[in-house]
Amino acid sequence: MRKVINFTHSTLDGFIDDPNEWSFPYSDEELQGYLMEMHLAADALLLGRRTFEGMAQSWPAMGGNPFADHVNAMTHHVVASQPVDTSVWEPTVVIPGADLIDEVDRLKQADGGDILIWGTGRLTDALAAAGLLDEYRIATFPIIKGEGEPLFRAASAGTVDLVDTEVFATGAVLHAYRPTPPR
Amino acid sequence: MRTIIAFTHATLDGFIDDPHEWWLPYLDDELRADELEMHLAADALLLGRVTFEGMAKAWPAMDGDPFVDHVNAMTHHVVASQPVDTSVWEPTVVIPGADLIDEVRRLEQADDGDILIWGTGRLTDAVVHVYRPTSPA
Repeated sequence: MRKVINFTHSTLDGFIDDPNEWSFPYSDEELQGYLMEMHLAADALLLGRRTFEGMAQSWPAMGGNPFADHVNAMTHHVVASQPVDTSVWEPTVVIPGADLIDEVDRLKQADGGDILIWGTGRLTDALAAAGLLDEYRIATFPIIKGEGEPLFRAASAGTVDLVDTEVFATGAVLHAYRPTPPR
Repeated sequence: MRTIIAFTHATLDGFIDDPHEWWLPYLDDELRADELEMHLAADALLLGRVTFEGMAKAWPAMDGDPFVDHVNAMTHHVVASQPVDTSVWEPTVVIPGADLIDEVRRLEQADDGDILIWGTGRLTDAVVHVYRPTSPA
């Protein structure tokens, strides 16, 4: 069965916005190798509509490195309650918002690699609440940003089990957690 | 030179309030030993007044285990801008708020154990800011 994995970069104080402004100094070959491996084990991205439309403006033009080529080749599943132009970043499949839980349940039963969600938000909260989220993978960078968009929300509340830890030489730390029922 | 260490319990989403409501299921022998070791390496606590007054209601009445006995025996440095009854949890020394930085610098030079701050807040931010007056690189 495929795993649904939520991956995000986070500052030490738990903010996830604008990672391009703070994660680069810590993105060494070791971290890049981890990210590459995680993405190669996945063949689908699950995205909200706005995230998809933002990414579709830049990703199709990138290529020529194994990471970008793989991300472009993954199936992009866009959760949307309004029409989406899928031609801007193929292959893309639309999941109507009302069908999210049923459709992710179906995708998990299908053959294939892992399904990644980039960044955390309402999509992740909805899947975790439905018991469909298999892992949070959080790369925490040794920066205290002070303010921003939070890693979790009130709707995220729950307990998790630690399943993996990787400490990188730059000071970045990767934690993998599996959502669990409350203790 | 002594090390000033801010120690706190935090949830995965970075909240630190009411730890007794959520961290006890994770407090095993390993974590307990780690925290004891950290505290034994320190001989001073640096606290805000409100924290001090809250702790002074509970800690002096507790004893009989090495962790509690050590915390009670540490010197409690209370940062306060108004009078504090130090007799409720001795040994306690008051640091006037305006003298915080000078006094912490002086304490740091002394030849003793580490200085612990429990929890993070304005006190921690003020002390860190002295060492990192500009934005991180």
